[in-house]
Amino acid sequence: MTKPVDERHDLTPPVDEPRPTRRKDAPPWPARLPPLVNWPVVFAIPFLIAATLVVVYPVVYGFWMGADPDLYEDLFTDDTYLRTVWNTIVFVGLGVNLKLVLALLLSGFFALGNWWIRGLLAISLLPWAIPSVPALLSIHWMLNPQWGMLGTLLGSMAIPNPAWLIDSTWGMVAAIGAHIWKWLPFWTLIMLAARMAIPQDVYEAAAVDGATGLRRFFWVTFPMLSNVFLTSALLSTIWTLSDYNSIHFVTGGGPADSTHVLATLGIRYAFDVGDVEQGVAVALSALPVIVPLIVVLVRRLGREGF
Amino acid sequence: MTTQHSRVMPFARTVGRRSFLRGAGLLAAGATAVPLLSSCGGSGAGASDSLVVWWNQGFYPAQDEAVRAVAQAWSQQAGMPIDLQFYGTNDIPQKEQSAVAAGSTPDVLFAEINQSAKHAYEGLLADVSRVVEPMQITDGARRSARLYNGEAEAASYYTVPLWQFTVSLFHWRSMLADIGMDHAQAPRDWDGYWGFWKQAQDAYRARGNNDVFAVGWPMGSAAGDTNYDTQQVLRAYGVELLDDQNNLVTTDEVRRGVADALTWIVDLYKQGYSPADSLNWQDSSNNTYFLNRSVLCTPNGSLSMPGAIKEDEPEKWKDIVTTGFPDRAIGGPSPSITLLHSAAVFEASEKKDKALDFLSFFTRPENVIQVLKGAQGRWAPVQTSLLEDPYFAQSDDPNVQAAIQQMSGQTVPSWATLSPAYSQSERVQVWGNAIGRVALQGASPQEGADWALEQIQEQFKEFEVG
Amino acid sequence: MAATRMGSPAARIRRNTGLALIAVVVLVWTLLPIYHMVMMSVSPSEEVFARHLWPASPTLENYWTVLTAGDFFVEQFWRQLWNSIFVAALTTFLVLLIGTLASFTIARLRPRWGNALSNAALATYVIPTSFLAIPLYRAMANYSLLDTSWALIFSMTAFASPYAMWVFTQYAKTGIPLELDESARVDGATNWQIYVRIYLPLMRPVLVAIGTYALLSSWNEYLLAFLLLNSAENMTLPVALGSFLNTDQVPWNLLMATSLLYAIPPVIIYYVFRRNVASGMTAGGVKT
Repeated sequence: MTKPVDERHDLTPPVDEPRPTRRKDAPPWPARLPPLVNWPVVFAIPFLIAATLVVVYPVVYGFWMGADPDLYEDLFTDDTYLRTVWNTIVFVGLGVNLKLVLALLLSGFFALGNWWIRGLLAISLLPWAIPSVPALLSIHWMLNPQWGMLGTLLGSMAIPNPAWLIDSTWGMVAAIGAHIWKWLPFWTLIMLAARMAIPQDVYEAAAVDGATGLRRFFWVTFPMLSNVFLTSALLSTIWTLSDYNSIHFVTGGGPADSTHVLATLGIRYAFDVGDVEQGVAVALSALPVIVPLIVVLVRRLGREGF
Repeated sequence: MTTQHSRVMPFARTVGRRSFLRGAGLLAAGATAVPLLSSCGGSGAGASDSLVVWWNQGFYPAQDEAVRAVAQAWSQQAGMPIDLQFYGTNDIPQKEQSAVAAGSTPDVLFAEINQSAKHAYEGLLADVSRVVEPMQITDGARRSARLYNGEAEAASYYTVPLWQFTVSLFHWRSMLADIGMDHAQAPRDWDGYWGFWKQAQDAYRARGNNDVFAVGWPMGSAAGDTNYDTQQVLRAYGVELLDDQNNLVTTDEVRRGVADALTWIVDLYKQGYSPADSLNWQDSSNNTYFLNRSVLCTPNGSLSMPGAIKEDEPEKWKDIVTTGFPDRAIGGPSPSITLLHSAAVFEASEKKDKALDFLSFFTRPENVIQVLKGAQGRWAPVQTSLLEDPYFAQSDDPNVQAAIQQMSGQTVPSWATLSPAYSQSERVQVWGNAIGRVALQGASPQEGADWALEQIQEQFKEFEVG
Repeated sequence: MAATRMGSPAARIRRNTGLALIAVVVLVWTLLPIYHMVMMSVSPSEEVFARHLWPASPTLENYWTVLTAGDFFVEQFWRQLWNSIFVAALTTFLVLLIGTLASFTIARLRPRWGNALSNAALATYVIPTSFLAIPLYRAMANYSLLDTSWALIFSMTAFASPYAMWVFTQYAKTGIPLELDESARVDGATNWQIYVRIYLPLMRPVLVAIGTYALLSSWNEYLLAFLLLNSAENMTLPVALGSFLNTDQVPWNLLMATSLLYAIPPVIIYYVFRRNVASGMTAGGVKT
């Protein structure tokens, strides 16, 4: 378990670390400064206050609100909750994997970098640039079985319009699709940046060894990207878990509460149903997944950047 | 009706609490944050010497004006300043909930139906018998104000009924005329009546029109409409879910009745007589379908649909017909479910007496009618004298007339008004989910009914009565 | 620009057809919901339900209605726009302030607990906010901040500043030589002076990147805004858009016109600062 110290080693002058504390042996300190001021603390204090009030306190508060074991007994006998857990697995599993694999493939396309491909890249970033609420509202209405534009469009090509918001499965498909639509550009950009960072001579060396086309992808590109890919997958898992909007605006959790994910069900229990503790319990029940993810991510990010 | 509440109330009103919190903020945040926190106050504040009233924002500005005028008149008469704050209909329930949670309740609250029963049960509301008893109001309204207080272990009047509205059926005259049908010919019996609409849809289908549906019946688990529309069907199938003590009844008769009602609703979907996505409708959906003439008829609480187009599209408005429900499936006229807006006073208020005075003053027929006029007939009075008032009984708006006629007949308060446990079941969307189980997940109607009753029973366990 | 391998003409045609095909799919996929938004926003009320791909008589009237607040639904448009701007601007300012101050500690003053703080901040960065929303709401109720912009500003600030701090720290450690500080110190500069005169100016590029990030994320935030703000005059635009759905009937053309007006500023900012945004996202340095 290396600590994120290595980075410091190659940057820090090995010996005299400035220790702007109350030590008397740090002569550059202007004498007029009050000696007891701990400057690092002073500079960090706004950050600490914000984090304490808005993150630490609510986290502790959340554990306290969701501490009653009965809440979890209720959850595990609640069909809607069990259904929601499954939906969450599907939403995150399909959402993250499809999104990242598509991003990886698309980044290869955009890496070609012709002028028109660069133009296309700029356009394809639109979903990311647009705030999610209007986009999702638009998608929601587009899927309306009676008047939605998608139905009209498919109808004009004589393709039957799936029962998007009526059937739970199609509802999940729609929500996952909306999620991918919104976030694919971001991950494509990440993958593209990672690809661009692969030095050209690696490819050239590989070409000499006869690696071209698909082989090149599997032998050179993918191994070089695997680190970024893994970090992205972890980060995206957490973000997808917490994606409230895609479900809320596309399916609204319906029909019959069959397309909720944990993020939306918690809010529904807490505010629509009015059972705040139960809502917190829904959120807390995801901890066994979230905590390891956070630990691994902090390690990875702290060690090697993205 | 709204479902997607969430969110909140304003900040604490009590000065002590505020200053305590500011002190805590000071300590915690240090000097840098002080100007920020102290500027966070926002509205209201410092109103401790006046009567704090949270009121529902009307659909029309004239309604708010009338409320202001009445409040002003009281304020002058009582010699007490009044701090009147308006909040949107969708926000009020949440405001009430979070104000209670944060212990920062106003003196008088415009209470949306569904939470008063709970708060009365929890002993948070002040007894308002002094206001309600002298009022000359309909039986349904009076019944709805009588709630059980779990702390005092007794029932009494805890809300002051202000006005009511009911669930009606709406249809387009011209859409029937197009296919040579007339609502006057519709049979009055339950099956015959709905058969009439199905026949109308079939006539449209025969012309190759696949976009018009017989009935737009809200079944979604995200729509408040689903709750009272389902209740209407349950009543039609003879289900009496609550006894006189507001306890849950789960006899075999009730079980069968619930199953029959679910069968009827789900069949609308299964047989294609209600749009397929009505299973996932939100509150606005049946209005949207109706106003776009995609459903021949739809139930709706209040006259919001004709109200929406009255000003801008008078021709279209004239084409809307408002009616009551047909006879019950088990025979006899359908009672009209009344939904009430009422006001409550919090037990914690230091100005309880003044608050009761205010409500007595507000609900005087001559005052409340000003507000109702401002609302342009959207709400109906609960005072029997006002129901006979020409403004309502001979309204130039046929929709208002129809609704007043419904409310002058047999009325029953929604179960949600009476029982905190039932109200909670509605918030859990027990009916939308039961319908979904039967329609989508292959449960039989009886299974769906038993599941729903079981869920409701769970809620009743939380609220022991007596 | 890489290896455009010269093949036979047939192979090139095949390749180009393949690329064009991908391009078409990407274009349709990307633009469909946006096109739909535009189409609805220029539909007159009679045509909202007309079921076509473009209105027969497109109109800009909806935009006019929104901009003049000429409808019940958009009565508070300007107020809500202002709220959104206010929240975004203050959040951005606070994130930059808090982030640079904290990163100054970790990267320049280097206390022993710097790394611990940095890791804790990273953990905060990856905490899923929608899972924290309920207790956060309660906390804000306890602070008496509900239904004020400050609730949202503080929340967004606290959630965005860990990332800001982390990126600033990385940048400062690799990009600004410590010797600068030391020589300034020899000349008698205080920490505060070093921060203002040396540190901040040198951080400029990354400040722009993170500033854009904070600006966009607070402008776009829905869930927290929805929970923390609820009166029409205090809510930000996305909450107002969401609440359209809860009304008796939804004027989709107005909703989409408002949506576009709300979406345009971030899109412009995004494209203007595109390089910065991209580098802000990948500021830790994408390492392979």
